[in-house]
Amino acid sequence: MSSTQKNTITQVHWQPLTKLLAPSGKKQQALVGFDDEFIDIVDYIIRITHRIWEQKNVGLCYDYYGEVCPVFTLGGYSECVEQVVQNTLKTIAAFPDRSLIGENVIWKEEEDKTYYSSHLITSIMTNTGNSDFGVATNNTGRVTTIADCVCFENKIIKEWLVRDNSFLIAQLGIDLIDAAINFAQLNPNETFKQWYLDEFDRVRATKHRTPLTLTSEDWTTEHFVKSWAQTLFNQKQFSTLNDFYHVAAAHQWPGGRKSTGLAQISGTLIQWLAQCPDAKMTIDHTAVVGFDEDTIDIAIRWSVAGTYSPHLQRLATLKGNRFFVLACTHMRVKNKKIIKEVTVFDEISLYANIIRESGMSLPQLAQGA
Amino acid sequence: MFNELIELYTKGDTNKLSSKLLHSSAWKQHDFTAYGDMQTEKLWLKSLEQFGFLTLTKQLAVQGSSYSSIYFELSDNEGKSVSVTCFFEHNNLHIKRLHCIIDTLGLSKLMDKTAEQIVAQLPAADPLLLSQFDHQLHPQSYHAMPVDVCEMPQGINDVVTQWWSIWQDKQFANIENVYQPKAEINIAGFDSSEGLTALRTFQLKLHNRMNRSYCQLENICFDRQQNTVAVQWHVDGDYLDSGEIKRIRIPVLSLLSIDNNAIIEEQLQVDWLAICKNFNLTHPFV
Repeated sequence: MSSTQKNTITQVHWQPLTKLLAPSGKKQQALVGFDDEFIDIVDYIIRITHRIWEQKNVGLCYDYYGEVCPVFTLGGYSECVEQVVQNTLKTIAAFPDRSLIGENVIWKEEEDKTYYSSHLITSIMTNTGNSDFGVATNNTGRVTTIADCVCFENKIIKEWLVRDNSFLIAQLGIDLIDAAINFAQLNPNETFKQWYLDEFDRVRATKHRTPLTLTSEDWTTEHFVKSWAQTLFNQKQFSTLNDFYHVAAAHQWPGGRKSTGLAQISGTLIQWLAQCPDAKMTIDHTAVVGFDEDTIDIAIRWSVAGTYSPHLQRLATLKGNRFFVLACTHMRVKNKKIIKEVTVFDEISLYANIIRESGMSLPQLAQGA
Repeated sequence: MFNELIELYTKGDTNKLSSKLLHSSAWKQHDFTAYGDMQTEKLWLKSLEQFGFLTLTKQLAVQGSSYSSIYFELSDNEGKSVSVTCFFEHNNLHIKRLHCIIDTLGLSKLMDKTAEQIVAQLPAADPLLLSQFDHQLHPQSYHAMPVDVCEMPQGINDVVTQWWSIWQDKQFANIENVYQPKAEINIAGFDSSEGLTALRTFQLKLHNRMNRSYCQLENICFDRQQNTVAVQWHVDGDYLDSGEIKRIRIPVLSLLSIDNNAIIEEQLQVDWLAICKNFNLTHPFV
């Protein structure tokens, strides 16, 4: 895939919601087995999300999710539509005014006739009910979510869901480690535990020393993404940031890490990676669509695994435990350089998994930590 | 879209401006980013309560193709005023992202309130997690220059590049080269138009109040008709506050009016009280 790409499918960026909910264009994709009303996969994702979440028709999950639908998150695993319905209802109850503002949908038509969609969402929500984070705070917060879905014949049949929970709780007034200690007390099912171990081993097997240089002549999206992962995350070659990022690139990472330009981005990556200095990264899925004449949007699902080296004093006793992250990134690339990046993963679950695996009982702030 | 922005404050015309926003538009004000009608409207209503329905007494606009900016002053009958600067991404139909900086020190004078009283009225800022990084300008490192973010005619680019060097390289000698001797320079929160000496003093105080200060360009828009330029940028640094070191970020919008290869007017807009609230700093900042 080159650094430019024509795209006639629905683009969310400049569309008013009224037009997105009542598309007037012709059908753009075959969408075999999908309801006739949908003109393309972006339209499908935007409208079913609006119906389920903003109109609160939770029962529509039965129409738009497969009976068996594995949903992977860093905090747990669910497998059937009943769990999707129940989790949706619980979240709406704790955050009744939750809005889901679709920022972008990056998609790919797969060889097995499924559609892969990566949906970047901003939500505004007020925490009026008790939740897994703790008791209701009555504060309003903003959170970024990326939902990567496999869609087939009008249904989502597999999903990877990541949410920037650490940024959300910072606005709600909840301490990150306290929340992680609460999450660690939840007992995920056996499928999650096995998936977590399998994924950790898979990512650790990556050959991280192989150089993967990037030149203008052999530039493809796939090569760019693999080189981004190998050079920056696996080999920690931060002086090459200029090969990947524009000098004024905007960079958003979980927990309120907002950077502009190479110096700040370098600082963010170095400080984050320092808590897992032997980190290895794998690129697990890539999708790319055109944005405008010289700009493309890339969605990446990736994983990082390594050994935890605590940067927070409260977690110092957890040194040496498994460190595993499931993450998604949306990047806008212009003239072969990233001009904007949004990366999302759940830092609460990241630390909760480390705490739970350690078997240790850590005190919360209220207990004198 | 300039009229819609001004009329929000002078007439309370929320409908006209709402029609220019998308469901996914973001409105950043007082270092808090609002999304959706509910949050954005709340910011507007608070502003109207504080400084709504005043008279427009000055404006400086920068109409760019995909980014535009406007600075305007609103005054009451006694001649007290507050200034507002907006920098926004648009497609001529809708605004996608807007950064609004209000001179909250001017606002406190306008409202006859103390800085602490205004701080109490501001929304909680976005909780930033600012990274430590190498702020030095190494020979082999890359730092954004005006030419990297905006295409401008050579003469304008030269002026803006020299202007940026004053901030990024701390090259104070450029002040005399790049400004017209009688240039009008207004720094938010300070008495207006004190000239080049006041600008130099302000910059020195700002940098000396921080360790490891680093200026980062975010965006620039340019108006070919008016020869005006708007620069969105920020300063990161370690702020020295009563013996304590606090990592802070100061968002800035600078609007420049250029004539005959020299800056004849600069409006430097900073929301000082939002910064004090965000990072729990004591006032005054410098």
